[in-house]
Amino acid sequence: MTELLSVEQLKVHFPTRTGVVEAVRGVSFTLGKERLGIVGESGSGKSQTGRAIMGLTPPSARISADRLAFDGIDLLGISARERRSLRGKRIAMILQDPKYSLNPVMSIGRQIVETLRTHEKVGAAEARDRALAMLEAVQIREAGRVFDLHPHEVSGGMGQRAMIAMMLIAGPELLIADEPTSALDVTVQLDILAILDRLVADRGMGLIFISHDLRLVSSFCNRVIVMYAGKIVEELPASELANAEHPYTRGLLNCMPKIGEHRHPLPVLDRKPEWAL
Amino acid sequence: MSAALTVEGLRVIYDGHHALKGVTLEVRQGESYGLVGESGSGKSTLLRAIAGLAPVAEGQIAVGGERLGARRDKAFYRKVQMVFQDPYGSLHPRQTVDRLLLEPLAIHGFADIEARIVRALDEVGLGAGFRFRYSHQLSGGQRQRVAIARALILEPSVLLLDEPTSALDASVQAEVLNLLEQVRGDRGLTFLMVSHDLAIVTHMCERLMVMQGGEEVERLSADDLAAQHVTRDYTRNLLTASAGFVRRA
Repeated sequence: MTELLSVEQLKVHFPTRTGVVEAVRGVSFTLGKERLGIVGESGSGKSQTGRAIMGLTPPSARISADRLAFDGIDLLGISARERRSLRGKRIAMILQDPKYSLNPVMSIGRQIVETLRTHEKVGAAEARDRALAMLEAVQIREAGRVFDLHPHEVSGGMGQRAMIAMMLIAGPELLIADEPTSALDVTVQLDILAILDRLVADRGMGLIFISHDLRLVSSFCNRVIVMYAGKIVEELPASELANAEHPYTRGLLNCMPKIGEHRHPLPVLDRKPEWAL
Repeated sequence: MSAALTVEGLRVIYDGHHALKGVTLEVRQGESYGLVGESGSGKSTLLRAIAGLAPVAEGQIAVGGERLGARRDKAFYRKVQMVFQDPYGSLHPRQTVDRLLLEPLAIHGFADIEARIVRALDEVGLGAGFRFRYSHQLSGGQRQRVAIARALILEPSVLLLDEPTSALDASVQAEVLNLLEQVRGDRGLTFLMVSHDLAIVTHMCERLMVMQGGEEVERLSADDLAAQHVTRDYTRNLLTASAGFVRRA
């Protein structure tokens, strides 16, 4: 498998008035053209890992890594300008809630066209055609109508489809999806995942799927990384989730209520200080 | 068994938008009843209408056999308390936990304030160390425990729970659900609980109502739902969806 992304000892630290917050504390993994899930609870550093790869870490943070390379390019060594040319073009990111991640004062179509024309030299008419085709690819039925709508005029599911369309129009090789369906209803969630699944397969992209939902991730990805307190505690093939070894992974799986099970009280996580070492 | 809460033909209209289109419901004394549905199904509106937070256009609500008027009186809030979804939004940011818990006691003229606050904190597993903290010094799970303590401090008989754990991590969710079950057992409370998560509702409730678009889809017991004894396609879809992502070949 060709290596698309290589991360070695990635650290993200935030200096604050009360001391340094170590959000990511030495994360290493490699990614090919596959689906990798990163799972953890709030504060585990999963989102900051994704943001560091994308180059969206706030300027106040200190970021370091032995190696952070995308397709052989040292992401920490290149200029902000070079980084910008990668972002959106070759690495794209889908965020959680389309209500906040889309531009509220710009029509959906214009936002997609803007992304495309930032990265490729195309005429206005061609850009429009390609945006419409992309909206159809994310299964929006009346693409022509939705093209002219503003984000507040569409539902959450529709907004997230538009977001996916915008992120995929420039044909990225790596897609980072940070909780792409957490703000959506369960039935809509599955539609969005099915669309994402098909597009990722058809276009042969690498995917990093960040989520708090261990079950969802394991049903969608090939491989799962479990993070706790800024570190990877376990990495395993998604199919082997039932045989997870780390007590944190097992605890996370266990503490969810399941339909048809009667466990009262639910088992709770007994957090051990040594997990965070 | 007598009904703790009855709702009959309840309609709620917001500026011409029909959020609830005639819902009827009966919750028995000491029962835990679930309301399930997707966004816009009216499940939260139903809860808010009972609490007096939504404009009721038509229909009747009765608590413990007593019909409620357009305005809720103080006695109603002694009996019925609510826990909201977002513990980051439902606690006053500039009040200490002590002050937050004191307010309902002062409003209702309780005498033994000191003892009640200590007991309430103890009951939700926080201890006296949390008493003089502000909510921003607490984690999400701790905040939700404070919100539960605030609801329980008036010794209500009915608790309205609006997605009480959806803003929490899975491991914290388990702790809060266990706490809720425990206080229900200790005090013989009646729960009316809203959730979008079928697994949580079947875990917490004996009976439930599935809602869609402001109307009832079907009413069934948690055991029937778990055994897939459902009559409506909508409920079946929800069940399939909650099982997770399945790749179509």
